[in-house]
Amino acid sequence: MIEEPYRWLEAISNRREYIEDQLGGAAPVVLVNGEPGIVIATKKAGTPKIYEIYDHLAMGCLGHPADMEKIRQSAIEVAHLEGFTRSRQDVSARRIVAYSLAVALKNAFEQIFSAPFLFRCLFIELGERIEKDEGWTVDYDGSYITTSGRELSRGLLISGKKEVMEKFIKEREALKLQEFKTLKEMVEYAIKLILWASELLTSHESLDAVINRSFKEILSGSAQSDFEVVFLDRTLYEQQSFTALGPEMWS
Amino acid sequence: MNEIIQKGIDPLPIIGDKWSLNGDFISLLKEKGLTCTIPRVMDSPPKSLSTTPCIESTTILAFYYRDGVIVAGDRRATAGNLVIHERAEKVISIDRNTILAVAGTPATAFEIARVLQHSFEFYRRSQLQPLSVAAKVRMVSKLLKDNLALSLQGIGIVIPLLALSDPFGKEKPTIYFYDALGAQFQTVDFAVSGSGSPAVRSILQYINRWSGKPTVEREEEESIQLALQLLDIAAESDTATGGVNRRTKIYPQVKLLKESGVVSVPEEKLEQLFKST
Repeated sequence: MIEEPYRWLEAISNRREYIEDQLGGAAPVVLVNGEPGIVIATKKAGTPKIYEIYDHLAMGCLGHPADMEKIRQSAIEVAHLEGFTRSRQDVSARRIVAYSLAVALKNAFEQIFSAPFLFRCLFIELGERIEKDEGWTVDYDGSYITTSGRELSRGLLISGKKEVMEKFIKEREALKLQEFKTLKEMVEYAIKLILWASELLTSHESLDAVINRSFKEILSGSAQSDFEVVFLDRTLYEQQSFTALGPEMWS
Repeated sequence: MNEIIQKGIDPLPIIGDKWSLNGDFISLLKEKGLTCTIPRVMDSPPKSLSTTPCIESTTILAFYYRDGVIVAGDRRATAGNLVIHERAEKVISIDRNTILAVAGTPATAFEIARVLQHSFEFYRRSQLQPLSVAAKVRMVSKLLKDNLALSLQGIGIVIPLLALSDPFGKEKPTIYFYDALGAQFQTVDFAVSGSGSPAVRSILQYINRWSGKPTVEREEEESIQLALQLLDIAAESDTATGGVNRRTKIYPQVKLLKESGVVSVPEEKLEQLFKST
């Protein structure tokens, strides 16, 4: 393999193709922030996909359940060890993603003789103020993109289909920054994003059009009505902000 | 410092290497070399150590009231005959369902509390379910046993009280007390600890047996008033107990444990209730 570097490149390319194929059926995970806090949502499945990592950190992920569990456990360990040896304030998404998750994911991706992680996630940090919120999009190869502050009010999305994510990034630019005042507004917006992403390849409706439609209309026209929704409550920033929401928020 | 930083970052390489399934934070700390080094038992403490005054905190109490458990502690920390601190917090919320009150050496006690806080939350988040009451009780006992070396040498002794409500809502809030070596006991009416505890114990025994209105029948505000009075009485005869400091308006610390979780009583309310007694 070393003597023929093109074979390594081919192996990496095949690896990426394999992972994308395996992730293709995963439901999207979205987040949106506002003055009340941060909402993370996805379609409800047999196992949860949105997890509490630390007092003000959460992770919404998609992929193989075993890989999700492994990375989730590791993120929790890192966060709690950091919090114990330093302080709560020293535990940040940047440290966990940039110094731990990304490094390990990249190493795993490039170790072509072992199984890759089938994994993609949004790593979320609730700030004391909306300007301090952070959303990190982390991919299976260790690459990551950070979005912060009010920019998150337009939403952040990961999907098993790369083309959906690319379409979202492109269309999101046309959206104005949202100014959510209530939790219900945020939940409805997040669910609109989920439904748009889930049905994009069949309906081809633009993101802007979906956002501006009535929530009831969208929900009634969708086969999906069960969601996993979590709220990071800014009023509980100094405590434990992670709160699972029930269907009364969107029914 | 570099070593600590490195150890703080290294945990993630366990991906693909080894994987902890039991949610045991204490084991994780030991694995990373982050636990406090416990000195071996010595025949006798070195002279310098034996003459160094240990800071101690005293007088904590817990009793059942109508809606759950009330836990209170005075605010004074002493070293020998010196008052070191008048705002010590001896009643600590470990998680939403657990209160730890500590009497003894604050350095050890606060470290135990800190380990417990992280351990309970680590388990809850990693295992996606809260730790059971029995497991929490045993964990406190284990940490006290780990402190055996210091206890036997007469320094670093901690005598805690633990109040818990069942996170699954199957049991009413309960009170446990311990000895310095980790033996655990569940109490049926109250528990006290610290140098001022004899006075408190006598009063609570009288109230529960003879007053005609045991603490378990008392309402919240009445119970808070009683807790403040008990600590104030303990302070009358115990110089290491702070009681209610009327000059500086420092009140004992009071927390309530209801089925819904831990509630801290603000100082404003304590002042109001104490003045109305």
